[in-house]
Amino acid sequence: MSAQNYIRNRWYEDIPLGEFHVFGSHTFSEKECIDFAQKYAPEYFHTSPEMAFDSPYRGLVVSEWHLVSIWMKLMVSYMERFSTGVRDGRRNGAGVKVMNMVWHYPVRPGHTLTYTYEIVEKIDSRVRDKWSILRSRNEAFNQNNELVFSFEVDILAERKPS
Amino acid sequence: MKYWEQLPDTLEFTSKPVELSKADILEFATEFDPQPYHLDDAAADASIFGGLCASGWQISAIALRQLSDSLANRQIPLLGIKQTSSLVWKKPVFAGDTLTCKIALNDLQPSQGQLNWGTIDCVIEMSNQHQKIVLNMNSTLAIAQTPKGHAQ
Repeated sequence: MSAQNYIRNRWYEDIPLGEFHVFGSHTFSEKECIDFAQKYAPEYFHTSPEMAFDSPYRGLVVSEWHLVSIWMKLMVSYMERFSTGVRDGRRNGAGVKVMNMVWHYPVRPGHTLTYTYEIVEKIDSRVRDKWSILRSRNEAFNQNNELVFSFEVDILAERKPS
Repeated sequence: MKYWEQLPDTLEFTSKPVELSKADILEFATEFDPQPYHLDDAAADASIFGGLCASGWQISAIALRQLSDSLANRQIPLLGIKQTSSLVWKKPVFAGDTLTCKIALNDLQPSQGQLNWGTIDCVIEMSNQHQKIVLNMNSTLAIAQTPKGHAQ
């Protein structure tokens, strides 16, 4: 993956439909799962290993929005890694809308997810004259290569100045 | 507990308000969404948002916390989110904003699988202190059914 392939250092027009990236992996520790859940999803099967054992999940599970937040963290890290040298104010990536977010299987502490995205649509209509929309399909797979989480998101991408 | 079988077809309520501080915004953004418009005042002023604003993922996480608390207060046993069919950020959220969710539940459906739960659709509309909508989120929730062997 070369720097030229990164989203943030290219104009909307230069990012091809169908571009596919494997952009990061993350192993969820029990402590970080509990910490996140205590703030945002305090159900007992996210916060108490003992009580979770008697839940329908038969053990602790990672909260849905934690999976989403790690997606964002890995995406930003990936974008920054490949944007070195861009200092002209282009800031692709602000999210507008999310669609079809589905959690297919529970994720547990100790599991490792690998996140991917593919550009599936380019929407040419202008947002405030300067931006258009890139739609990506995002997926996360666990260590057994099972799809556990997927969604589409629309982000703003800056158009080449005319 | 008010299990899935005991829920009415529709249920509407309003969450408690939550005020978001600059420290809250910086804390979440530093860990999960370290982009300039969530971390740096000058960069944020020059951005499409026009000022330092919260990560959209933090706003949606807060909406889900408000949902979680509202259900817990009503003794409705939430077992997770099955899907979010749409999530739209309508306006940026800035430090000092106070956020309140209107939550509507409807369309009870039995679970397709073996697990002891049913689903209900959930529509969340989050507004700021100026009564402007900042977020719309449509999800399907899993709600626990009466445990097997439990006296009805």
